Amino acid sequence: VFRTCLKFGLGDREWAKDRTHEVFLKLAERGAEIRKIEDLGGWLYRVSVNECFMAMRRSRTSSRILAFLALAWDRSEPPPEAKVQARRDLSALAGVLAELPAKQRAVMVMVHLEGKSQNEAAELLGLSKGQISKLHAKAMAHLASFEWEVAGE
Amino acid sequence: VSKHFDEEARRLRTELEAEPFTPGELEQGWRRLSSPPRPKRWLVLLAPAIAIAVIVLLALMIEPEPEPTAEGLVIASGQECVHQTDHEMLIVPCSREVLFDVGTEAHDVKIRRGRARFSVKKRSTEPFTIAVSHGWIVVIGTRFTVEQSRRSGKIEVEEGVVEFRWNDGSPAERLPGGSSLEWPRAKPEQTVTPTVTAPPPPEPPAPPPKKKQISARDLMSRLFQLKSQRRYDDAIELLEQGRQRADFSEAQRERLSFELGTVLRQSGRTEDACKHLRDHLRKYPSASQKAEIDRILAGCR
Repeated sequence: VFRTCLKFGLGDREWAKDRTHEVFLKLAERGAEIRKIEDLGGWLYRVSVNECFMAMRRSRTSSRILAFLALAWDRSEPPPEAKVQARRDLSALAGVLAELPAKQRAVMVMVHLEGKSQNEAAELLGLSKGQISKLHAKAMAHLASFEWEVAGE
Repeated sequence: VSKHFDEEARRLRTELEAEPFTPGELEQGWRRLSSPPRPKRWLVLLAPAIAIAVIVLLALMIEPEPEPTAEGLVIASGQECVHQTDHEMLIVPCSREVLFDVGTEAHDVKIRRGRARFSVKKRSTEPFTIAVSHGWIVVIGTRFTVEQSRRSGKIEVEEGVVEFRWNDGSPAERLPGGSSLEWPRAKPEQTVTPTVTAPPPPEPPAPPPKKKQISARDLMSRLFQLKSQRRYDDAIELLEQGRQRADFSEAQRERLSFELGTVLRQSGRTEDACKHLRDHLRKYPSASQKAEIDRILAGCR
């Protein structure tokens, strides 16, 4: 769960830990019904993808406002710029992917970091195959605009 | 750094999958799961802002009761607006509270019409007086409501003491908080309503306040104002008072008498107007407005 979330967070460990916590809270809420889950690993994976995707889709603007308020509220938390810089240190590619809109970023993570096919990504993210294809194409065009050599160029 | 996307993506995937989830982090995660849920961060951050907004909103909604100025008079509440002309208050309907500051020089006003609640700060010098149709209200420092209609009125004292001085020479009456008084008196012996409490020990009667007389020029200005507002009853009352002013010259009184005839006619009281103008000509045979009066009288029966 943590590693899946870490990929969605492009290396942001704190964000990944928060998402992991949420996934296990959902598991705890199931109570005795956990035993009825036949494929617990598969269930956890689907819930993890869904949790990370939903967290990413939350308004970017409101996230920035809350991040600013959080900064004012809790000085111990590193500023957002520092987090972005940390991701860029991890990989130049992570820095570029972090700038993509949530849906495009989720598709790129599913296809290129999780190794899923576009059909699998569509099923897990709850989007149509056509949407996945378009989002993927847009994300690749964005990368190409930053002089990344992408397949089919 | 390679700019080949596929190559770099594989490297990033390998790095991320190799990121360890340390035993310390695992233990921290377990502790966090077993601890009571923390309130949502956005709620924690927004709660103080919402509380401040509510307080500000309430503060705006609750308007403080206006306090009287050092030497002023406050319409503390009510549904009337006040227009001050000379020392008269014309209270007309409106939808907001009004602060009426008479300034440091003025010591008396007159209520012509309307209802207003007053809050008057105690004065160290000459007391403030409010003239109404049947007397004067001498304000000693109190809160009270005055209602003045065309021929009658009422005062309700909330707190403090006011003194009501009848203009017919009757003894003054002191009205404590909670009491009321209406004018004119229904019967001579029932001047104060039953709500009036026992009067305090009598005090030497104070001389009636000096009424400030308006000049002839101001009187005419006021007359034209009342006529333009079609307030003929008020105009007639103003002229009747003016005609009896000993400090006006004969010519001024003649002019006021003529004006009274025209106002009577404008108010629809044609017979009264005709009678008055005939009397006017008898009193002033060489009246300066004789031609005009003759023209009016020609239309009289």
